[in-house]
Amino acid sequence: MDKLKFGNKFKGSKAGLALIAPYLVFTIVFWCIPFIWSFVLALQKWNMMSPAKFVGLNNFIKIFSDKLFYISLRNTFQFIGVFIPLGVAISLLIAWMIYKAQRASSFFLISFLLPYVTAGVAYAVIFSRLFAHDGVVNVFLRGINLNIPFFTDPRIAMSSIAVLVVWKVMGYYALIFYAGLQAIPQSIYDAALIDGASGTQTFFKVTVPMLNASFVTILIFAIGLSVNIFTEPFLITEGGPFFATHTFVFWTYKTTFELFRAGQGSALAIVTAAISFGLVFVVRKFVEREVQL
Amino acid sequence: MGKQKMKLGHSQMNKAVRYLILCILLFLALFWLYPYIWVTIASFKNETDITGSGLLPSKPMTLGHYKFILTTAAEVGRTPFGRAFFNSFFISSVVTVAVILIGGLAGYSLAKHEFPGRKFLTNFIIFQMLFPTILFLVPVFLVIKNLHLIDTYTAMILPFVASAWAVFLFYQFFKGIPNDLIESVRIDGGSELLIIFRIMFPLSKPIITIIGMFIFMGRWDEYLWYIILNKKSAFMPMTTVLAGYMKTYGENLGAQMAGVIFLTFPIIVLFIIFRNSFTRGITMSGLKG
Repeated sequence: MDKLKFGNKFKGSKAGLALIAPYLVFTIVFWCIPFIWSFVLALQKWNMMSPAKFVGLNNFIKIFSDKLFYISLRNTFQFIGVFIPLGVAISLLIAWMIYKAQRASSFFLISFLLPYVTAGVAYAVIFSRLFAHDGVVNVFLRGINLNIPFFTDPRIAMSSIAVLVVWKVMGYYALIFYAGLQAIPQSIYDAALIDGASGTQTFFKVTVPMLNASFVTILIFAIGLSVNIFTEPFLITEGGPFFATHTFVFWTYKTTFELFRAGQGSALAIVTAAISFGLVFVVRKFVEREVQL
Repeated sequence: MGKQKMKLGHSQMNKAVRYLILCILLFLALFWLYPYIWVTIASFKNETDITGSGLLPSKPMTLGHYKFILTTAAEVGRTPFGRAFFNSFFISSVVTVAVILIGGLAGYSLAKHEFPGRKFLTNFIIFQMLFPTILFLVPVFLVIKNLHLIDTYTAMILPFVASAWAVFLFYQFFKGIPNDLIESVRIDGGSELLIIFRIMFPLSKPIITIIGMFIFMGRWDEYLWYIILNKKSAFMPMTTVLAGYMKTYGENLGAQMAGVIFLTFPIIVLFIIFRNSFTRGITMSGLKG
């Protein structure tokens, strides 16, 4: 029996490699080579035409001494500051309401998830119109003598985009919370009820801690999205007004494909990835907890 | 007696609360749908009627915007939307089929075969998933450029034909399929490809639907990569064409709205049909953390 098994495994060795070969070829060409190349490029000065020149850490020094770095960082944090609290609060609230009402109907599912499946370009078009100075939202606000320059006031442009993105991904996050809520055993609620906990107490002392895994997942997704935001600021505000929506991916794109500085663009991409890793690390360290049932 | 009365009152209150919550949810759901209703109506509105007015048209409706993006635009050197629609559909479909085939084979190999480096490769696939796309933007462009593929369909397809995420999902799913089933086919002299196409793929329909749905949607929505990899207007997918309208035809709102309908409608139909696989895909990611 053992021999037979061994024989099969041996026979499978070549077949196994053959089956995974297409994936390996792909990974080498479009993952491994680019991965290493991006670090090599980051140490070079290269306009993609004349020969590349080794410049050491010069690209990084240039990035960190550029005012745009701090502007992009500030914009990213302004985005996070609006997007994460608002996104988490609304999606948790809606998940909780669906859970309480015991009706996860297809209608709710479809309407809350539609924005998520809509292409970024399409909803950038819709929302730049709805929130324009003469758009539906401002026409409505005119009723109370208000006109908010959502995308033209540098102080609020990035926050406006964050609100749009909340609207887009809320359903996705709510679904993760909803699955988390369903996974909490009823016995824990019963125990809290016997202990005389109020509704609010139960929510904050039982429900929220039990949802830790959902919170961590959502925060990690939200960080990835926030640091890598591109389509919305690129199309709606073009990084403006006055660099108010200038983000890291936007900067990487401009540097590489408009200014043809491949080396600096690569260095920027690495910095962007590092910021995203740093924030994920913070979430893992300070938010993630082992939840015991 | 008193206790029972209290209980009754409690449940009645619960019922009232439930209905209240349902009403709020209904309102919010309609609120979330509003932009879609608005854009659908706006795509038929008279150009001057799109700004500043509410939901309903105040002037006669028109099919002009659709006509513009489908035919007139071509006369001024723009990619006609029919062509762009085909481009999006073609690119997304080829990538989706490739991801499923390549991912299925790789997942099966990792789950059911023994070969040197198998463990390392399994861990490597998880490692691959950690890195954000931005890191690959510049070097993958350069790889495509060195292969002389810029401005072709291949440029927009090749960098996406395999996905570590898909391999991982297949790997996990295939691990759960009993070996006896495979062994019995092997003993009968069945080839590995027969096992994959007659047993593994048919068994993994739920996984294939999830992977297919997310990959297709991801490609359909793609914008950044496509503007980098292709500048030839005949090959442009809808996202690029629509964004071009937004940037250069800023004034032609009706055309933009009609473009939105083209870009959004097919995905909405797909989503409604496959919504259950879609939600399963999302909750799977959420519970694992």
